[in-house]
Amino acid sequence: MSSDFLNIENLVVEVAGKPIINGLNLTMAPGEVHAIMGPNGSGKSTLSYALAGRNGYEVTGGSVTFLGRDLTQMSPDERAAAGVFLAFQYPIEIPGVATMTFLKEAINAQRRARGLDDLPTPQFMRLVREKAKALKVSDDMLKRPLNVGFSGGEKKRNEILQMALLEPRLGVLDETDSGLDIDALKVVAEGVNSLRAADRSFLVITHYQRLLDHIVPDFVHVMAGGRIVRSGDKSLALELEREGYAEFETGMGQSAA
Amino acid sequence: MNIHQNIDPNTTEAALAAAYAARRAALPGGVKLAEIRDEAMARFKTLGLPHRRIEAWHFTDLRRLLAEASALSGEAAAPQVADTGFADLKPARLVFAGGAFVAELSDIEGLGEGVEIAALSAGPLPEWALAQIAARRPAGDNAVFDLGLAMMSDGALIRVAAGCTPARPVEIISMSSGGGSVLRHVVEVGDGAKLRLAEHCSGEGAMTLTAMSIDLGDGARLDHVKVQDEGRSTAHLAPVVGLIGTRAVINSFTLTLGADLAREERHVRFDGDDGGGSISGAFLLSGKTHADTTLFIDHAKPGGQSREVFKGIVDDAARSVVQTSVVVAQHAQKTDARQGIHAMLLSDRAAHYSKPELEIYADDVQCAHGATVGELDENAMFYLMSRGISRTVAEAMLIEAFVFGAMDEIADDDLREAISAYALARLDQRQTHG
Ligand SMILES: Nc1ncnc2c1ncn2[C@@H]1O[C@H](COP(=O)(O)OP(=O)(O)OP(=O)(O)O)[C@@H](O)[C@H]1O
Ligand SMILES: [Mg+2]
Repeated sequence: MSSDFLNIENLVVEVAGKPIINGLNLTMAPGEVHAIMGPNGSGKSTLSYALAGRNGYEVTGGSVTFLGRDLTQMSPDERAAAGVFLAFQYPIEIPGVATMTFLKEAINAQRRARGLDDLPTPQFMRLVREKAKALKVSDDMLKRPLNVGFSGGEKKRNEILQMALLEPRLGVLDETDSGLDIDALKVVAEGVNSLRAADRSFLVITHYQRLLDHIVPDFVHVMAGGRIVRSGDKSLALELEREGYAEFETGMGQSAA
Repeated sequence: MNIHQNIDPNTTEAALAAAYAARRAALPGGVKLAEIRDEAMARFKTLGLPHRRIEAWHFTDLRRLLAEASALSGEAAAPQVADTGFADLKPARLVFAGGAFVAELSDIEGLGEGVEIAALSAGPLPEWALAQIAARRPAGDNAVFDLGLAMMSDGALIRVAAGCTPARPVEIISMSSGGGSVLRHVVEVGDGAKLRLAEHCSGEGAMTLTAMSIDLGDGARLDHVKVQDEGRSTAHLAPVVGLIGTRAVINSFTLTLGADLAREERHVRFDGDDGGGSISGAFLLSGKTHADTTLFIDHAKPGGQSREVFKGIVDDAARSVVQTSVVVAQHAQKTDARQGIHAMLLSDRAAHYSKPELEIYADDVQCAHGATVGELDENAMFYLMSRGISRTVAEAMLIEAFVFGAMDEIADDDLREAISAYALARLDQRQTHG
């Protein structure tokens, strides 16, 4: 089974000379939501960084094709322009860079990459206000330097705000639910759901079934030892919630050898 | 920097001494100043150019670095005032080209009551200026200051009488060309008076030596910014001596951009109770620039507050040196001095040396110093790029965020905006030229 949308075949990713992703296969079609679950250290964040193009996450085998293009040959900004968005597990604080300046730069950089003119400032302001309101991101947060002094939950909401503004084709959400209180989880899930569209897909990395009650996945994958060891529908998440990962831990030991 | 092992280190000194002998008769000032010059040249000849065995010059071996400089010889080019970035402030202007005042390009009228402003070469030296020139010098031996004292061919004399404030800021524009220039600025701000002073240095002269002395009376205030944007081939030497009165405030900020060799020296003595201010700066270095900023801050009286904050980027094979020495005298209780030196290296060949020093003889003080050397934060770079921002723009954003922290040290809004805009334009150039 392959797709024109996202095709990951036999992917091997090394970090500091050590293979962390060991022959991973994953195919996504447009409009789908895939959840990835798996024990700590199984390589979920590594996969997300490899997709976004982080330095030091070296693809040493396999391929990643996104909308017909070889993602591994592209720089992070090119991938973003092509429609890849990563909501970070740990968003970075950047003192001295104003949140609004950053948002404007990001939106316009992507528009330029797509041959569009810069968004006029009044329109940009309106757009940010509107999306920020829906995600309960306060004016005060928007006035601060990027993520600086934001609480864990505020940082996650800011990630989703960025995704809403940048309207990617593929949203990779790395544990966006961790650190969120119950209300914030709903706000974020609604934010993601409102972005669901026929031509947009999501890869949702999470440890908790709870998020998947709100963002209902089409597929659930279990990752262990740097590869996907089982896939199923949303009922797999419920099963994992009951049984844990014990079944896969042994398998992980073998595959990582 | 090139190493010229085979060149006699005294060649430059001999050339400078010869240049003095040749020009001596034509240099401005009366008999008294001529005596001061002769004494200074005698000291210079004894000391020679400073070298790395002198502690304050350890990282900047001037004797070696100037070994080849065709110091102070060469033809001066026709002056052309570049955009100094201060035009919006509608400042009064003193323009110097190749070490000489250019009246046609200057504008020193209409500054209001109590403001005296003139070129050093313009006529008989006023008593107050002569007294200051005779009395003010850095503590200890200082061959560069002495060289300036001997050879100064011109400079700005600015005096604000007690309680007065000039109607406009004052701008000193120095354009170095040919062999370069030796200037001496003399600034006196009387009790309770205020002055806003902007300096801009440009040009391609071989050597620019611009010394300045500043006297601040009780309750006086000086807001001073300097842009050093000289050409690559230039050696820029700028010792400044400040004597700060009771409750007086000096805010002095230097933006270092150009000159292959630069040495900014600030000798500031807080000589009355509760004096304060910020002696700070930013630097954007590239090519093979060697830029040294060395501070000697002397908190001689109680209640002083000072900040010494430097931030900058060092690219290519450039080197930066920032030395901040703060001494708190035994009776200077309640002194609060904060030093911070932060550099970001943008290339493997770039280097930075920090030397923050504190010497405290009082027991009830608050002093702190910190120094960091870092690189562009790759995590932050990835975060920005993952949103579609290109590497060059992301770099520029992070560099700006880093360097512009220093601009907060400029208390005066207009001056801060002007300096920030100037620095930003330079960063944009860096971006477009890759
Ligand atoms: N920079 C690195 N250097 C060395 N090892 C690394 C590096 N980054 C990740 N790893 C290792 O790779 C493995 C996978 O890490 P990763 O962060 O992808 O796991 P994860 O599945 O996201 O875990 P979690 O659920 O805790 O977020 C871990 O064993 C981790 O220690
Ligand atoms: Mg993770």
